[in-house]
Amino acid sequence: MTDPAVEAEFVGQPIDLFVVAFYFIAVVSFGLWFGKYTKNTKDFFFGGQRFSWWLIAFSGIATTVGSYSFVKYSAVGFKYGLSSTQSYMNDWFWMPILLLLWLPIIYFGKIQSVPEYFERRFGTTARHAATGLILLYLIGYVGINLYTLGQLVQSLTGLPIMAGAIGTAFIVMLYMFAGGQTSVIMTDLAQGIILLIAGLGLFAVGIYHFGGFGNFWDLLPRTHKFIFSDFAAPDDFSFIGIYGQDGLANTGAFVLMNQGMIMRFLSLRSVKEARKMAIFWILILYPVAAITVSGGGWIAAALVANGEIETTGKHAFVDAASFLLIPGVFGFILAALTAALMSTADTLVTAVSSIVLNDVYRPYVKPNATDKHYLKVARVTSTCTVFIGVLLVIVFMKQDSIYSAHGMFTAAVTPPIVSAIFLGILWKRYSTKAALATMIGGGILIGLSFNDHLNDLFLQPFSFGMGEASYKFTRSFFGLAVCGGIGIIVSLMTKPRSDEQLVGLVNGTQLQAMHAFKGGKPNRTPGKWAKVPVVVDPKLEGMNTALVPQSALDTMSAEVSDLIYVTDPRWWFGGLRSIHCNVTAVSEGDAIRISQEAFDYAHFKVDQTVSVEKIL
Amino acid sequence: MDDMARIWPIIVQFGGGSILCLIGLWCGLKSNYLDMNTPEDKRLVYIIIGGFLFLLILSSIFTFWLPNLPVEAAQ
Repeated sequence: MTDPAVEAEFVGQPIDLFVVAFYFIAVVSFGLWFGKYTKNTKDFFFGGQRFSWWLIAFSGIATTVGSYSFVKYSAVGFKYGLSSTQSYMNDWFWMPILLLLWLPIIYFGKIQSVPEYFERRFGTTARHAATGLILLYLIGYVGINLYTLGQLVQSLTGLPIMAGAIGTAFIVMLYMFAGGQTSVIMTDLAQGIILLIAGLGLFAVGIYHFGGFGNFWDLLPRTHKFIFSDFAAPDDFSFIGIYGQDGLANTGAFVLMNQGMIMRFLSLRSVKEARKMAIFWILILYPVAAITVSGGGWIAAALVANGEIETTGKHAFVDAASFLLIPGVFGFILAALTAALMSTADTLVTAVSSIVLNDVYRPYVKPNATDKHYLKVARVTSTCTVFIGVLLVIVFMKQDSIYSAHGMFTAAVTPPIVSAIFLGILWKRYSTKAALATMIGGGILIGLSFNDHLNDLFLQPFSFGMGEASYKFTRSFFGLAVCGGIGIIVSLMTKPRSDEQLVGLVNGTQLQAMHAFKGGKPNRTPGKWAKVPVVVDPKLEGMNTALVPQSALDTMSAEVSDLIYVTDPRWWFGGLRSIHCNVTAVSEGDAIRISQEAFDYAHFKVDQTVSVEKIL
Repeated sequence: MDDMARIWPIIVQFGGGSILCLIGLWCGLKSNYLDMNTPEDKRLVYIIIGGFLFLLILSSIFTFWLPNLPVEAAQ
């Protein structure tokens, strides 16, 4: 296999390589250190379900900005200007469905994966179909990420793509093996902050270089100043194509079927925190991230307009950075680029591991093993996923561009599952047979749309007068239309499941899900945080029992049997030292009393004060 | 501003977006999961609407105003 760009040379100075090497060592050490917080599969996959909103928001941004974003959006920003941000501006519209429907269903239903939802909502066969499709989607995504990593390392150092992919995959594998989701969240927090600083820093340096925003703005061509591209032009970057592919299909997939993001939501300490996280993430961090990933391309376009550099879209970010920044700082930017990619890869690998364990191994291979055994399997699965991802790099090296490979893949896989989940949570009438028909029939029709003889017939009606180059974007309209159509028609012809079978799984039953989650009537009376000392009660056993003083219950507006969250009061821990408990009785004295096991798990210190919040 | 190719995106993005938002809000209200008597849930609804308007204003600024600056370049 030839590697056309293998002759690429390193564009920085030796000190930049030193900075990158230092960064890699720091990330691995950071991830390994947090491995001590992983003691069971709940920790490995969901970080113990204890984190604060800000921690997950920043780590989540590293994941979403990750995969191919810096390379892709800088190139698009260089070529088309501000409209490169449009993919980041269409997620908010999904927030009500996420926060008021899907999130309560998965959080209160303790649903660990999309296939698990399919089993509960539609039955075992649907679970099998969903497991197959989602694993295909996720493992392919891991391969794309590693391929992108390899390309990046090649463009920076001249090393072959496979060498870069293997090297970075090994780093990801190391810290994931140790700490699973907790290590992923903590390393992604650091990587998220670094990449935001790097991207925004480069943009700010560029603005300073031009002598202010006004001068920069004046240098940009007028066509670069619009936030949306033309409605139906050009074929490969029209608004309507991007809207269909990203605003509907990909964002729908991101909100409803992205296992990595579901795991992030489930790692939050409560639904209330999930709301805060989602709002801050989409409304604040997303626009900031849009500037972060695109800014280098805009600055490069202005530098070219000013006659200062010559570059192409693919190299716009690196060329602008190497022109504007001093050695060492450029190395920091390179570290941020790899950070963006690694932080997506680690989330995807955890997601694959979660589905393989929870949807394949646990139910079908070894159902009644110990949690210790499952934890071991989770670690082995993560390692295997990385290896498969590296093998897939060879496949993706044959694609002509990352953008088209990613677009083709997501367009084929996402609409059937997004449609099935969307109809499944919204419509009680949506039946098991309809879900299967949606996934299988929709998947086949979308697959056929890739055929050269059929694509005009299938895709032209959805392409708004554009040509064949638009199909990879507008295929999402076709996919959603056929999947939705099949789902509705088959539902109307078949018998739905009974209301009893749908409790907690469909709109209208969120409160029942909440009730089942708590094991009693939810307490939704607003309360405040209480601060009390924590002590070990040797008479208590298990992780989830607590005796709470009446004064604290009054402050929280809580009662016996309510679910509470006990945490170290120092906010910067982000919930790392915390535990959920049920109030089993009122304690004497002014301290909250928990078992030794719970005390150790939460990493509390003797005689320390804790903050306590009522969850439900 | 007479370039409809730049205006249609706003209509489609926020028209389609408003349908998605209304579906989500309807789900929350119909199920009583969204309790408008509690300050927290009421605040959430305001934030959803406020976020929608924020993005609409931002999109309008970068469609109708800033692309036309400087005026001589736009002409």
